[in-house]
Amino acid sequence: MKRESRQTTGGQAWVVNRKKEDKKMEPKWLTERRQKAAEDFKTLPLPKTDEFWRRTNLSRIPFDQFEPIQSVTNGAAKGSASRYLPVPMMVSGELLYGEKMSPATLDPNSQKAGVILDGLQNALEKYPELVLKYFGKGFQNRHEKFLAQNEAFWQTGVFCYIPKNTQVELPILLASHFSGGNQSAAPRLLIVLDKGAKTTIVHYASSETENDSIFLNNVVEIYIEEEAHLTYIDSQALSDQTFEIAQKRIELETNAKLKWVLDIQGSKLSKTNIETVLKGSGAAAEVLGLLCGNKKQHLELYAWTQHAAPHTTADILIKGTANDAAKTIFQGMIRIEKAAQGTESYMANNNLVLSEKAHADSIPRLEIEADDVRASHGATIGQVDAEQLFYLETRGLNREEAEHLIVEGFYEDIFGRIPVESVREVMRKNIEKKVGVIA
Amino acid sequence: MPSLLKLDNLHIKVEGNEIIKGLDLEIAEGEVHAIMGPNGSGKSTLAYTLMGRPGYEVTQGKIIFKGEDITEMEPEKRAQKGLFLSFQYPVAVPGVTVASFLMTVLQSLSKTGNGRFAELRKNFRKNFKENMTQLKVDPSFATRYLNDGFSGGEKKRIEILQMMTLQPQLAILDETDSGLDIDALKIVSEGVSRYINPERGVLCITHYQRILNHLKPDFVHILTQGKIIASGGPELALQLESEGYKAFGIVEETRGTI
Ligand SMILES: Nc1ncnc2c1ncn2[C@@H]1O[C@H](COP(=O)(O)OP(=O)(O)OP(=O)(O)O)[C@@H](O)[C@H]1O
Ligand SMILES: [Mg+2]
Repeated sequence: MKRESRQTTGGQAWVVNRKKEDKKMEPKWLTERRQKAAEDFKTLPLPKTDEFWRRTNLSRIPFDQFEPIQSVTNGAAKGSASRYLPVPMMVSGELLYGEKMSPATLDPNSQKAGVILDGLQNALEKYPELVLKYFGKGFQNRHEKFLAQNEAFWQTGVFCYIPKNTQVELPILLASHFSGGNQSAAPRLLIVLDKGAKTTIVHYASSETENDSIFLNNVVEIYIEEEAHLTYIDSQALSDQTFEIAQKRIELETNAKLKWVLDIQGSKLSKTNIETVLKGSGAAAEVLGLLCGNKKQHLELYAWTQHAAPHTTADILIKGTANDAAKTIFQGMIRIEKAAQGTESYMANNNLVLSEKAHADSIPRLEIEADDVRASHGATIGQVDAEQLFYLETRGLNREEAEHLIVEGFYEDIFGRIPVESVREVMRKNIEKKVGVIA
Repeated sequence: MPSLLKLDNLHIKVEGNEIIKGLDLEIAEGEVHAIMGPNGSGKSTLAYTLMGRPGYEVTQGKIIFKGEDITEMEPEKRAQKGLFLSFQYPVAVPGVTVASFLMTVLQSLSKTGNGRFAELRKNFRKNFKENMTQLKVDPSFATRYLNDGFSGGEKKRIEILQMMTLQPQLAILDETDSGLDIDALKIVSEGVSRYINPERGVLCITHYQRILNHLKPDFVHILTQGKIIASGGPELALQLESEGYKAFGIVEETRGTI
């Protein structure tokens, strides 16, 4: 009986572990926030029946098996982040976090402009006012199990700030890495683009496991101030024994622009909830997502898009492929508030099921309160066409190569909208590993 | 002349129905053969089976290609050996450009260790450009998605472009002439004529005399209800054109549906 009650807590060890951490130096307000969130975490049940959680069976995650990591502020050398990328990338700065943290590197121009790239703990000490202004701003009063868990116990994270009217030419690379050992972690990311700032941020999450596993509770919050433009590449290549729950929120102020590329390929089970909030008029978001599952992977993406101001636009395209016995699930919700007149919002989800045991689900929804809007959603689930395969095979490709080519073609409209060549290569490389390989 | 293709009493079943019912055919190097026959007589079935389409079962007889029994061989192995099919209905592959598709194919084929393909791959850019010019294919087609939104005639032209790129030893053309306008037919026929040499063969499936004027077949076969009922020279096609199938004892009722 005891075991069962622990199961529903989502990992008792977190609470125990935190007690030691509390003795460390941290601003008082933070300790208080952590304690409040810890109370939430302890009392809230696992979100089993909730419409947006019920398609992912959380009891598959052996919460009590994991040992939460301690606070991480060092351990890796400068320049370690790029080592985890499967292809080289030209960057203007980089930082590794996760079970180890590297010092940040930044090119002289960005430094001069006042760009901040640092571990979240360091940033709290060095720039308390700036961090406090944004930290948790979008997640207030949510009282959700996993948000509370992260808020209470986060041990590793990054703060990135692009000052007003600053343009960072090359991408900033943030990489997170964990290696096995049945560890669990709650990484936290806070990114702020101040008014008129422009940049591309590439996030690459990886992990390694053999006979052990990992649990990650990721929370990301990004604030794009007026007229600022962000391209956010969010690529996930976690090992197939990693469990991931992620809550990611991006808020856009007036005339802010976002291109968000989600590349979800790794993990044994991943439940990612993304929130795109168009808060200021004229804000525009393009969300491109790729869910590529094989073996027994369970990948769920829930994309929530909120139009809260007039003349905002959202263009969401999510594509999934499920191979072997994998399952991909897309849930989408476009919510257009009464104030959001003159809004345009499009959501499309296309899926390709590559084997008989694989499965894809698609549940797009619209909620419209305003009357002057243009909105649509559509979903397709298809199979690789036997005619297509035969046609390609008659030209000399074997079954695997033909399938891979069809999958590449299927994702091509997403690739065509990704502005960084090396990012496309990273994604292609990872897809290759899962759906056959071409020369 | 060495034999390229030899079919001996071939029977083919598709979904339990026997479609080809004892077919003999031999094509030697350097020869052009034409197969004509009413709708539903089994021409495409034969073509698909020669390429190894899943579900097309050879229940009797064998397919011998260059002296080797390929009856049970995978389609890609047949392509490696030098067989090619220009499809009656080419299939669209969205997101894959014509150029990258052919490059991928040549890359894969050269991995088999066949120096011929390695050579084709090395010269791909140059050959591809030349072939496009010869076939009067607009250069923009190189970066268009394979057969995706192509008109009927454009698809056929791209089939022949693929043939010219892969340089097979036996090309089966399944109604490549259907859907081509008069000028296109001439251009495509010229492309095929140029491809023919003393080591290569063509099996041209068609309903019309016109393409045969260009290709000048050595043999014409009439296929009906799964059997070749008449074989002869080019005059057979002319006779068919002027007199119709009833000259061969085929009446409307026995034909398949269009
Ligand atoms: N999958 C199938 N199941 C059952 N019958 C089939 C199948 N495929 C083809 N057939 C039948 O086999 C016969 C021959 O078809 P085929 O496509 O080979 O004809 P064809 O000679 O190429 O005709 P056309 O001149 O119209 O192209 C037709 O009656 C057709 O309906
Ligand atoms: Mg046919």
